[in-house]
Amino acid sequence: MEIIKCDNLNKAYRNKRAVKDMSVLIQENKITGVIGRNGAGKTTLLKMIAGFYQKTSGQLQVFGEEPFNNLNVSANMIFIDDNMSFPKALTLSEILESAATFYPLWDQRLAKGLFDYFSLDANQYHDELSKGMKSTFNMIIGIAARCRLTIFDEPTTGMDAAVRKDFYRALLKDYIEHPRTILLSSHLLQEIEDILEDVLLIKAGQKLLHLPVVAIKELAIGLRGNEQVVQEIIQDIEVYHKESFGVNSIYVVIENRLTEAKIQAARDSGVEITAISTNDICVYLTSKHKGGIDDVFNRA
Amino acid sequence: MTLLAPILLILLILIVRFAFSNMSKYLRRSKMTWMLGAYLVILLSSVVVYYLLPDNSDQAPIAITEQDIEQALLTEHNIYKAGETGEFANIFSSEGVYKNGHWTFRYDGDELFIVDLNTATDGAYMIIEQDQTNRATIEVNSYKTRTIVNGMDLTDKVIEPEVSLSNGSLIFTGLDRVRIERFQFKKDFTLLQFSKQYNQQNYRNDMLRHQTVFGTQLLHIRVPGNVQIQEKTFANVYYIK
Amino acid sequence: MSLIELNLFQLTQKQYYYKLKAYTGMFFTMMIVQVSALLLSFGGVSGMSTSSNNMIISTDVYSGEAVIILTLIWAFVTGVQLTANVIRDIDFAFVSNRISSQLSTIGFMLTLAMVASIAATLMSVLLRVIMYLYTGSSVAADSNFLITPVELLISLIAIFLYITLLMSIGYWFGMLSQKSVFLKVLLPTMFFGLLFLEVRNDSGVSIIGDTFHFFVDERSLLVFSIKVIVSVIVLLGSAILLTNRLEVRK
Repeated sequence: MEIIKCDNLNKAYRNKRAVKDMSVLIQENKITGVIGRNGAGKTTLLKMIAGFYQKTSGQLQVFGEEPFNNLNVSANMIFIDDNMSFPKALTLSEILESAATFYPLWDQRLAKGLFDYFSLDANQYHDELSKGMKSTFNMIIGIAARCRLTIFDEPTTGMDAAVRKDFYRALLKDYIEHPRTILLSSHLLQEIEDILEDVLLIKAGQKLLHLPVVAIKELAIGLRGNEQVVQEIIQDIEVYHKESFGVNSIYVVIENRLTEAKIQAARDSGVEITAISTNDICVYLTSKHKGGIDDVFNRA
Repeated sequence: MTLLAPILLILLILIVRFAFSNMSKYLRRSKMTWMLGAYLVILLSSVVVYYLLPDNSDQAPIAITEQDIEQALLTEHNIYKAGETGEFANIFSSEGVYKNGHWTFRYDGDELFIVDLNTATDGAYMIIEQDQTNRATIEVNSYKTRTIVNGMDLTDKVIEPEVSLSNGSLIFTGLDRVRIERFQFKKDFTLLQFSKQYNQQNYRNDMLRHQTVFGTQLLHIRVPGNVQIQEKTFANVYYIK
Repeated sequence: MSLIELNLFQLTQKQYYYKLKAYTGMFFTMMIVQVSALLLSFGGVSGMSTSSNNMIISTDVYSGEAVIILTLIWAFVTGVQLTANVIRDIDFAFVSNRISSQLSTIGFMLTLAMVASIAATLMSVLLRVIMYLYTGSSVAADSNFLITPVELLISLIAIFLYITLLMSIGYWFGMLSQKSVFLKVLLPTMFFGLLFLEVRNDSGVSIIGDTFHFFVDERSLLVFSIKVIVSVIVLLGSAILLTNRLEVRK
């Protein structure tokens, strides 16, 4: 069943279009990573799905309904980012108690367990916390609420590496026991690719691809070697990234359309074939310049 | 209070708000709730205490009526007229004039200075009667009339001067100015706006509240007929025979 | 997993209780304002000194009006405060839609109004008790010292209506300012501009004055109640309808 469905969804502001003609289908009970550069429109898209922002045009349906101002959608959805507002006058434990009243599926034992594990103080106030602790606290709420649609927008801001690892592990474990639809946006793809099932890659407000994470690895391939040799091999194939180094040597990342034979031939001519990490593929696919930052230096 | 007051009030509000908008951080909610509870308890118990207070309406300084005011004004008017005509004989026994002091002294001298200290006779009517039949006695009678201020009858707060005779001088000494503080209340505008009874009864009370009639002091001095009188006082002096 | 269903009433209730806990500080501020006003009241509302002969008589008049006026100002400011973006963002951190958010806020606001009006009314009583204890029983002899229970009730209702009216006006201004930055500037400017014009007698403009008199000159408590209730419904209703499409959690 589709939980989220958008069709030519647009969100325009006065001077730019944050989301352009987005058409996506997100199935139930999957963890989907929403990946893209800063400003690509991830947050805008997610906040539209959550019903916080209004769409400009197109179709958007969550649980089969328009999410904006929608009680039914809100009751089954939770949106966690590093910017969540809580009443200044309530302590952390009071906030958790309040959360429990809004979410019937709330697991207080899990919340308390995570709370104590991360050494949070029940009597502290939310605005006294450091950035990392705030994110940790918000994350606990996101997991314990067990909402059918759980959205995390850059939830690990400020967390140190150990806490991030624990967070992903906790999320995965609870997800397996209590399946739900999770959207997880992050710019640290390499950390989360182990728990993701699908990836929705966004560039400049548009959907670039929406594939299972394992399929992405197959999308591109790297070649390194003598410039002329490589250029010959990659004729007519789309180049995602190009880098020179040394004398006459280049490194290219190309669409993986080479046949086995061609790959063998390339190896024979001294060209190195490398696999590309999922993270790097996404970086290259979403970059504006094929040459990466080297372009700035090459122009001179 | 002038126009400044509302501005000060608003400033006070804003300061309080600003200072306390962050209060939630410094005061635990439980303490806040506790203080609020105490606040409401104090208010509610004050109602209980209030209605248990003894009824003091018999002490009402505003027990005056319009008739009292009229009477007092008439008395003042009569005194004034007497001053013009010189006919004081009736005044001393008329209604609204109360005797509050009597002194007699033996006096043999030919001259008498009448003086006052501490403005004891300021504004008073001093009626000096020289009687040929009187040979050796000085008699002083002091009278007061009703004093009503802001609808409150303060007649009994008026004090007679001290009178003494020494070295050929009749000396009137007044006490230092007496300061009287009275408190009045005003009903809140939210009540006054809708109180039906307001129209009749409270309206009258409010009018009375603004009435002020100051009483006059009368000093009737009987002096032997052969005495030469010199007087240096603040009083309005009248000589009658 | 089946979808959780929630109706508007249930949600509004939950949010209302949440707000009672979250914004207890507003009750506290009210208390501070009223206590400060009480202290101000001890200076007397007006005073008069007259003197003659050997008497100086000063009459100080006391009333609980300072508390009422300050509470009204607090009410307006609180009404505006309750429209801040933060309030909505806090609601939308959990389950909410715009109507439930506003309804629960308004419910909270009315609760504030009730407590504030009870406290403000009783302050007049407290003032009299304190003056009695402080200066002795002579004070009680003034006919204005006595407030009958019926009068207390009338005063309470009137104060509650005034407070609610002012809160609603503040809420209306606040909500409309959220709708657009333009309005945020326009509304106060228009208000003060009108005020300025009206103060000048020769301008012929009297909208604010007329509105003021519309309420303040009304002598019948019943008619006044109707006037206030209708105004409040119009103000709050229009605020809810006009801002039902606000974006949140930016």
